[in-house]
Amino acid sequence: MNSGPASGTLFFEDMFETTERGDGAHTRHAAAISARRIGFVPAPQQPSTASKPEQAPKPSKAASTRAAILGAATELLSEHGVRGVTVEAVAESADVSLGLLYYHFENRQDLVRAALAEALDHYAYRRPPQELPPAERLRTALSQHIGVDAEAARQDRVYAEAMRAAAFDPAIRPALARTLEGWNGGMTRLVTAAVPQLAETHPEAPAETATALTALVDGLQQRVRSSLLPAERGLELLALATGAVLADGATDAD
Amino acid sequence: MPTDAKAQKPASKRDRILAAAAQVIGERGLDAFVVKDITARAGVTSQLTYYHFPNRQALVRGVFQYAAERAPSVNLLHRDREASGYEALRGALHAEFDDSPEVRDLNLIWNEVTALPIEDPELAEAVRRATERWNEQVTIGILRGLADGSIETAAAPQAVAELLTALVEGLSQRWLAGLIGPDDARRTLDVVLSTIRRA
Repeated sequence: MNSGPASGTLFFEDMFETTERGDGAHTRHAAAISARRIGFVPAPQQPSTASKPEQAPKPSKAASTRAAILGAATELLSEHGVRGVTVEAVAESADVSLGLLYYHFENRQDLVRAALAEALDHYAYRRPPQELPPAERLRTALSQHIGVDAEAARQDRVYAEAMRAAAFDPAIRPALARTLEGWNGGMTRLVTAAVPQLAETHPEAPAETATALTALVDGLQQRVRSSLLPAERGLELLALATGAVLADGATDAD
Repeated sequence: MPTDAKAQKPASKRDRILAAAAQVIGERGLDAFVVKDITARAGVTSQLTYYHFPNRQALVRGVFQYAAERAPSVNLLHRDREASGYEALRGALHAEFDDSPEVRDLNLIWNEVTALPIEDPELAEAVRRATERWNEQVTIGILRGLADGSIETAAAPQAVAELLTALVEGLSQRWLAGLIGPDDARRTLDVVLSTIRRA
């Protein structure tokens, strides 16, 4: 069902736990994880012996320049999309010369790939409050992605940009696959908690249901983003679908 | 108003340009395609291309319309009168996920145009109408299944149609991005479709 590495789920668990703290700590933690995991061009299966000698443990000036350029690119990406990530705009916003930018990134495509991977690896799902009943947690987790939550909408826009770009650039797929795996994995756990008997009918049923729900949310979200569907109607349709899933377990779910 | 674009007459020069444009955009995407490549593939002069499509926006609108009119799930839906309403609906929606270049290009164009906020107001209006038409056609397909007893649902047919088309779009993104295969997409679609099938 997915092509991501098996470790992606583990990564998402990390995210899930850290986002729950609700303070700034998770951002730093997530940054440390993504830096450790992928470097900047996603190649998860690359052996560590292949890493370049200049990537020494202590942060060099070059590394901080690279990070500043990447930070500026990621910022432009989430504000203006892939189209907004031009070498000129990034160089200006990072306050570096074009020459220095090209020293760190071969070309615009290289920069766009790195920015997408960076943004995707920071994609943090907001975990619904623990005190809610399982059915309510599932509803909340899904509906926050239909145009009501500004922070979720900002992240989802980058996710959509990456989806669109991945159709023509396979290098973007690994980071995207990890994000999708996290999205599906988190929802699978919420579906399992909300409708426990689903797993009894078929062990794969919660994952299949979760995948259908996330795909539906992606589709509805796209229409809301393109102003083809009012957010209220999107939420109404989502409630209909979630209601149908929950109805399967109406007797046991709280 | 449903139109069967292919049935009318032999491909005009305009259609030849659009067919070539669908291929080129399917390969390179909306942001990177080159008009010269389209002209070369269609075997027409660039003057003729500019006569039909004076600018890039006009060409994109034309190609979107071309793709929307050929969407498999709309065109196949009412063709098979023998099948039950449920089977006709399922077959038509499944047909959207197909790695053959023709189907993939049509999906890619739809996806390229709709994935992000649409800047050209005329194009936005065309997308709104095409989405509406798609929802209407799927609604009719559901009504047919309700009438012949192959579909059962407590929800409004229009709402079920909107859910199904949104689901197809969500799955289509993943398929075109290379994250899932067409069979995965169909399987997920079946998870949802099976909830409205009457046993």
